[in-house]
Order: sequence, then structure tokens, then C-alpha cells
Amino acid sequence: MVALFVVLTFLFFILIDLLVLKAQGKEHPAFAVRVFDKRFFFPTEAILSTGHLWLQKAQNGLYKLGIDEFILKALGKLHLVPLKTEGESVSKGEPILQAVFGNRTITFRAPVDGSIRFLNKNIIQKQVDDPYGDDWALLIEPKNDLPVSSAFLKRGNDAIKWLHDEFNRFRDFISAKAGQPELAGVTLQDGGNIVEGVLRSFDDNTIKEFEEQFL
Amino acid sequence: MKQFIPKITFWRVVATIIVVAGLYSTYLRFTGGLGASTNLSDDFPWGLWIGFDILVGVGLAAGGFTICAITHIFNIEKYKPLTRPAILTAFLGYLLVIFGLMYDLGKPYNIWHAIIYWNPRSVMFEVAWCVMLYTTVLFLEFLPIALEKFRLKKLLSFMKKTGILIMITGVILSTLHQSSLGSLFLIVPQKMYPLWYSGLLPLYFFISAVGAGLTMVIFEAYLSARAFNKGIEADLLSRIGLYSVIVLMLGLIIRLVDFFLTDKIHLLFTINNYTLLFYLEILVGTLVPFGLLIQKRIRENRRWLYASSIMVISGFLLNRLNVSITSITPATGVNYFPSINEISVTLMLVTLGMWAFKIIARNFPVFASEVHYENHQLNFDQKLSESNL
Amino acid sequence: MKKQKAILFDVTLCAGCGECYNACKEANHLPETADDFLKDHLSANTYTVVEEYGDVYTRKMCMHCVDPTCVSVCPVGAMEKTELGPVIYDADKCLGCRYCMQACPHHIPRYEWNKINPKVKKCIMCYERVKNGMQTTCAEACPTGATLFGDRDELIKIAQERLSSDPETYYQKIYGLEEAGGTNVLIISPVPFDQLGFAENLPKEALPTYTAKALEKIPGVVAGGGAFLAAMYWLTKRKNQIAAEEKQNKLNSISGDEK
Repeated sequence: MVALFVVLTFLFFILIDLLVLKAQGKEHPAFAVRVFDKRFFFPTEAILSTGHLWLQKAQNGLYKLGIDEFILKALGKLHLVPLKTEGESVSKGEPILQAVFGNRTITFRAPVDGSIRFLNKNIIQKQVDDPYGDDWALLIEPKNDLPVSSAFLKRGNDAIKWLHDEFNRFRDFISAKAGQPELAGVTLQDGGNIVEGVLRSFDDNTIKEFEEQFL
Repeated sequence: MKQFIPKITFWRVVATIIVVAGLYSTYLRFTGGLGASTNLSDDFPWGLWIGFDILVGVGLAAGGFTICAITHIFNIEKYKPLTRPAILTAFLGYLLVIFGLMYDLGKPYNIWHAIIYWNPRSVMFEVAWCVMLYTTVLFLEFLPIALEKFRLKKLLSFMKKTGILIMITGVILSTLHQSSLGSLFLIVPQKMYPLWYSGLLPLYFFISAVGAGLTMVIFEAYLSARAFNKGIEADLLSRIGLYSVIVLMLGLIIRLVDFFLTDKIHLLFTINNYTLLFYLEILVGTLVPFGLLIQKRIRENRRWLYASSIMVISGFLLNRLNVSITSITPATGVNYFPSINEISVTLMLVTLGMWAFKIIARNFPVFASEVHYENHQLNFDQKLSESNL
Repeated sequence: MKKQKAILFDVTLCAGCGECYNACKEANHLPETADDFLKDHLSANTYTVVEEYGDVYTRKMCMHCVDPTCVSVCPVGAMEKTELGPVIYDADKCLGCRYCMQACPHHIPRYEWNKINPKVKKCIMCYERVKNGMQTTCAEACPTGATLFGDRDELIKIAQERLSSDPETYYQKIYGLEEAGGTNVLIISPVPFDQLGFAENLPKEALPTYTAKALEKIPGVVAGGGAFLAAMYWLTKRKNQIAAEEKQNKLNSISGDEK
């Protein structure tokens, strides 16, 4: 009897916790967190810039612009803030978009010359869930026609391949940073999978370096 | 200063109620004695506090020494990310066991007598010494984590050099007292229901502690993920899950062979409450989780892994309480059920343990062997207000 | 070694008068616990009772085992088997773990459950009196000779004589001769002992031998386990080193080829 009572008490607390999570509309984080793996998806019609922004042809010569999955996996939960207003023109390399995570940001640079035509109002203060779909950032009208392929703009399998290379580069980057004395003990090899949002663990300098090396 | 006032959450309220109730029971226990606060009697001198706080507490803290053996003695380094949380769980587990003993002992202020009055013939004496020494070992194993925090590099490197000795001592001490908790019951052959009595009780206790201790590492990882909003090392944990059920299955096979050799098989076909509890114990604790986790697809599924770990722990709870309480019941002729005070003190101990784990994990690099989902230091204040327990 | 003292209780002679019960209460300064002594039971304030089973009476008290379980299980040695036979208790050493109560095969030790500073209570065979060459107060008080005090060897002889001279009356067994390794309280009775509430399922070996079997393995576990673990540590460490070196060599040879 006592044995049953103890087991039922244990199960009761676990059940209550699941109900509490449900009432709060949350998922148990152990089930929600995903490992940052190599599996990338990139839409066939889109073009990927080497600054981790994608462009996809919309109507009237306008292109949708958004961030890629890689950024989302590296930073975890984030929301986007456009740095330009509608109608403003932007030249290649100029800051165009910011990703905000926690109290920190990284800045994306424009992949092409052009002018901003429309900002996606739906993403204001909203976490990015679907980077290639509803959660695009803005509509841009490029000055010139986009090339079919270039060192900076990649399509289809090229884009996926490039993302894989970026992933490897990112893993090395994280490993090197994790070897720093103030983060001693952090291992990524053997079992220590990179979890999504791994960059959040690092200090501001590392984030800045990431920005310089990857964006 | 506002962020220092904790937000009211469901589990905080529950925890507060549990602790307040526990403190009231503590007051009753230490002003009125065991009689006023427990349902223990001359006929039934050991109850929930021994069965759960001691036997289950020590058993589930076995994850500490098994993971240490895997990573530091067998040098399988990929499991290193699991070491620190396991050591901390074990350390807190043992401190709670000692804390729990303070309630159960009739004269807690004499607890140190085990150091000066020796009786080497007593299993309890051996357990007392092992628990004392092993708690010290766990402290030493945890110390590097604290030294890292305070950047005491010289001491740290000294600790690392002597580490292996400490680890080996820890594994041996654990082997001794985990099995000796089973030996405690060797001396009551006439009292125990034969389904649970066996000359091999020390071996069963050791094997089941290893199995359930490993599972506790999994369960604890889920708890931490829940509390700190972090990820789990799913690939490592699913392997651990597999090892754990293999160990438990081995234990069950030995147990059944022993039934056969000692002519107890007929008891398995005698239908009564004891047999049913026995079946429940082996089904929930070993057979079903074994059937599940032996399949790669299932053990790599986070939900099934979690469910299996809950089953294994439930089976372990059933086993220890069956040995210490259920099996003693028919011989004593009394139906012991813990008093509300015994229950509330036990709940308080578990709550305090989880609370301590949370505070320590937040302030020391316990999960440092793993890259964090979120940065503890930076989000400290934010999480203080967000977290639940 | 001194001759061990013992008590022989003969159920056939007991009249159920309760003199032993009263004498014990008085000698040990125990408060009254029942109006009718026949309905009383062992407790922290009652070391011996007289129980009525149909038309016979029997006593219950500490059996003072030859190799007492309580003495072997006590972590701090608060229970002691004296040379003279009585099993005595030192409350100053006691932690209150109650293992003695859990382990006692005769279910004898009782606890002061409602005290802050509780003691284990049981018959101590009037140790102070026995030490000074006196008999126990219950034996002294017994008007019928049902409770006899003396050397264990001699009492066994007396019991054996009674059994063999009157096989019609006695159930042919001396309880305590070999129950759990034997006791210093011996009982003979006209009826089987389980009918009098005595444990009949006790093994012949002293119970401490059961745990001794487990405890004697400890040195082996420590030595063998230590050697095994140290060897495993060295082997696996070496294996990891070799693997790392090979990896390094491979890398070197590849980069060598490229040059």
C-alpha cells in the first residue's frame, strides 16, 4: 500500500507539471529544444546571399527579403527590426536589417543596391518561426537585374551546399571560442551537440566576431 | 530592486506550502518525539523515512558514481557533459539522506557516535561509514566546479591530479554501501515475505541502484531542461537509457534464476496482493522499459525516453518500499501507513533538494560541459523571475 | 569464560499469578501500565508479561540470545552481550536507529516513542543483581518455581530431564536451545510453541551469520574493486592515447603527401 501510494504521488506530481505547462501554453523545453543539425532547407525559387539573407521574386519586379534558417538555428528565438523605412534606398553592404535576441543584436547588410518598398508589418515584435514563409522582412526593388548566379548570390543546391559549408565553419568557430579560458570545459566534440541558439551563450565580443565573419 | 521579488508561479506556491507544512511537522517531530509525529510503532519501527528518504534517496543518487566510473575510470569521454549534474544530484541526495536521518533517528544529536563507537559486525555501521566517506568524496568531486567559479587555478590543478584516486574511492564506497543497504535486510529472513527476501539482496540492491541511478541521470536532465529552459543531450541520454535497462534486465534475470534455485517459483503463481505488487514492480521497473528502450527508434524519441525513465524510477520506488515496508507487513500483523507528518517531511526534503540544485546550478558552472541554450549569467535576473520552482 | 547464566521457564508450572510481572515492574522502577496484568503487553514500561493461552500461561521477555541479533546490528554497540549472559543496553551510545527492533527475531525491544530523548527498553536480566551473584527478581518472586535462574548448562540438563521423565506432559522440545543460535531464556511447554505465540520459523543458525556472510566480502570488494578500477583506468586511458596518436600520425602523413 505504502509503495503504491509513493509511486502514485510521484506520478501525480509529474502529471500536474504537464498540466501546468499545458495551462501556460508551453511545451516541456526538453521536447521543444532542437539540436542544430546539418539539415537545411532552402526554397528552390529563392536566391541566397552570402550575408544569410534571401531574396525571392514577388510581383512587379519586387523581391521579398528575409533571413535564412542558419541564422535562426544559430541565434534561437529572435525577432527582426528593419533599419530602413519604406521608400528609402539602400546600397549594397549598407545595414538593412537587425535581428534582436535577448538584449543583443546582429546587423545584416544589403545584398544588392535597391530601394525599400514595403516592410512586413506582421513581424513587428513577433518571433520568427517561418523564415522563408510568413516571416519575411521586407520588399526590395533591386536597381539592376539579379544575376543567375554569382559568388555572392546562390540558388538551389548551391545554396544548400554553401549552408553546409557555413555550418562546418560555424562549428569550428564555436569550438575555437569554447576553448577560451573563460569558457573552459565547454566541449562540442563527442556528444556535445550544438543546440539551437548556441550563440546566446557567448559574450558580446564573440557575437561581434560572428557578425564580422559570417554576415 | 524589483526583479528580486520572485514572481508567483504555480510550483512556487506549491513548494512554499510543502515547506511550511514540512516545518510544522518538523516542529511536531522535535517537540513531541517520533510517537507524536509518525505512525511508527513497536511493531513497525521502520517506515517511510527509512524506506523512501534513505533507501530510495541513496539508490537514486547512484547516478553520480556510475557516470563518474564511465567518464573518469573507463574514460568514455563523450559522456562528460553528464558528469557534473550527476555529481551535484548525488551530493545533494546524500546531504538530504543525512538530513532525513536527523528526523528518523531517535537521538539525532548522537549521530556522530558512529565515528567513535565502532561495531564492525553491524551492516548499519558500515553503511554509516560509507555514507560519511562518500559524502566527503562527493564534496571533493564537486569542489573543482566551485574552484572553477572562483578561479582557484592552483588548487584546481592539484585536484585534477588527485582526481582519479577520489573517483576510484567513490566508486568502491558506493558499491559497498549500495549493496549494504540490501544487506540490512539479510538479518530478518523470518520476517520478510519470501518474494523479496534472498541471500542475494545486496547484489540486487547494487544492480538496481546502478540501473535506476543511470535512469535518474536521464530524469534529472529533463528536470533541468524544464527548470533552466535548456536543451537535453538526447543522444547521450538515449544510450544511457539503453545501458540502464540492460543492467536492470540482468538484475531481473538473476532474481528469477534465484527464485528457481531456491524453490520460490510457486510464489509467483500464488495470487495475493504481494504477488501483484511484485509483478507491478518488475513490469513497470524493468520489463516494459526494457521492451521500449531496446528499440532504437523509441529510445531516440524524447517523449518515450522520458516516459521510460519515469517508469524505471516508479519501479525502483516500488522495489525499495516493497522490500522495506510491504514485505515486512505480514510478519508484523500491522498495516503501517505513514502519518501526514512523515509524508510532509519527505515532500519537504525533496522540495529542498530541488531548490538547492536550482540555486547551485544557477551560480556554478554545473552545465559548463555543454554549450548552453541560454546564457545563465546574463539572463540571471530575467530567469529568476521567469522560473517556476 | 564465566558460566553463562540463564532462565528456564516451565509453562506447566506457571499458575499465572503475576508475581514475576509485579516484581519486574518494581525492580526496574516501571510505572503501572494495566489494570489486569494478563491483558498487558510488552512496552517501554513493561519488560515481561504473563499471557494466557487457554488453560496455560506463558511469559514473554527478552530471550537473551547466545549470539544476539540486536548486538550485531547496532552500529554503535549500544547493545552488549555480557559474559554472564544478559544482553544489556547503553542509552548514552544509542543513536535511535531502531535497527535492533527491526532485526530482533523475537520482537522484543520496545521504544519510548513519545520522548524527545527516547531509549530502547527491554528486559536486561536484572544485570546488576546477576553481576552480584543474585538471581533475577522474577525468578526470586516466582512462587511455583516456573521461572528458574541458574547456569545455562545446568538448566538445559534440568529441562531435558523433565522432558524425558514426563513425555506425556511435555511437548518434546526446549525452546531456546537452538532458536536463532540459541537463547539464554529456555522454555518448556505442554503444547507446541507456536500456540503460545513464539516464533517457530527461526533458523538454527544465529542470525548475525547471515550478515557476516555479506560483510566478510568487503575486504575483497575493496581490494579487487580497487585493482580492477585502477587497471581499467590505465588501460582505457592508454587506448585513448594511442587512438589520438594514430589520428595525429594520419593527419601528418596526409599533409606530408600534399607537400
